[in-house]
Amino acid sequence: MSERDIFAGWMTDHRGIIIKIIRSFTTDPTDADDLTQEITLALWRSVPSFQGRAKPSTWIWRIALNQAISWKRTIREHTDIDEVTEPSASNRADDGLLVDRIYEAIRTLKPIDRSLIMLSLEGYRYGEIAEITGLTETNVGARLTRARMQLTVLLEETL
Amino acid sequence: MTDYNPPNDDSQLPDSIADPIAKAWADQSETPAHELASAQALSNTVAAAHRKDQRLLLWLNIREVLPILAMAGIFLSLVSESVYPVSTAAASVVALSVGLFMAGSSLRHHRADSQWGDSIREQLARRLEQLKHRAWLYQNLAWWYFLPLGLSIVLFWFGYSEDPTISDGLFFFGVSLVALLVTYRINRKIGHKKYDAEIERLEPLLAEFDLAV
Repeated sequence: MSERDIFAGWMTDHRGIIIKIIRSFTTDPTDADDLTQEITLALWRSVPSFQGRAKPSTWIWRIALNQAISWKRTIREHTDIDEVTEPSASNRADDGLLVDRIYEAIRTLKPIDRSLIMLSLEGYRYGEIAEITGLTETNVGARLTRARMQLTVLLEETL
Repeated sequence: MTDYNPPNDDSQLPDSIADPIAKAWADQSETPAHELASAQALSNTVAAAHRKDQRLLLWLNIREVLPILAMAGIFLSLVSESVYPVSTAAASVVALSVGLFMAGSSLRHHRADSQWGDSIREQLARRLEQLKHRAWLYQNLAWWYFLPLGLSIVLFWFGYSEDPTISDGLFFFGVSLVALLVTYRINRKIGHKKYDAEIERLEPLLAEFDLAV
């Protein structure tokens, strides 16, 4: 299978991962385009290293989250409205989808915590998350507990 | 569509909240808010962008390294005609060393961005290390590039000249030293502007990974 076939397969079967990450890091269409480009280019460059030894989804989470985390830090000073804007009472009363509220709440977390929450929601266990992120398992547990508590507070009025 | 597994047994969210969140997350549409190109179109675009980057990088490397290697070759070819062959040969060796160092540095940066088994933390650490190396190269261009090349030219001049004088040598040395210091100061500034901001942003992020909670 050629590198192009592998990449096209990823983009067909796992594009949801990229979409989820982008939604968790920005709401601005220009930033979303920018981040999409960075992630897809990083994924393309990673194809030769992939060699089919991992589940493609796990590999894509690793590469894409790394891009998102460092990308966000690069432009933090300019456009980081998402991070400081918490869902307001009026927002909570909106008829928007619950998933939109979830993303809104996730965007209030620190970039590393966002990654942990997303991986947790994807069903990854502490050990797997530790392996993907490079955090210790204890650290994953502590950070996830704190991030989940934060999400609970932000979402309890919506639910 | 990614495979969805039920949330961890060790979820800390209250059930009344965890279940709707997990359900909403699993059920979400994977239609992006902004349009993503088709997989094939995206592959073509990314492949083309990558090829363009690679070609540009190759051209930049050739443009930088080839003249140095050519210079080393020319010096070497003139050894037999030199008044002091050892000096001319040394000039060639010094120039060749600079060329090889540049080629080695370039190869080091060509390493794959992501290696098998890398965690996000390791990817970040490697990126930071590459940035620091690039900053070092930029900020010390005067010492690893201009100084040896200047030395190579002086050695060649001594080896090839019929009657090299001390005063000529001192003049060469003085001019080279001034050029070297000016280059050093300019490159320090450029290197700082180009890389330090990103290094300063990535360092705390990496530290955050190592921070015990």
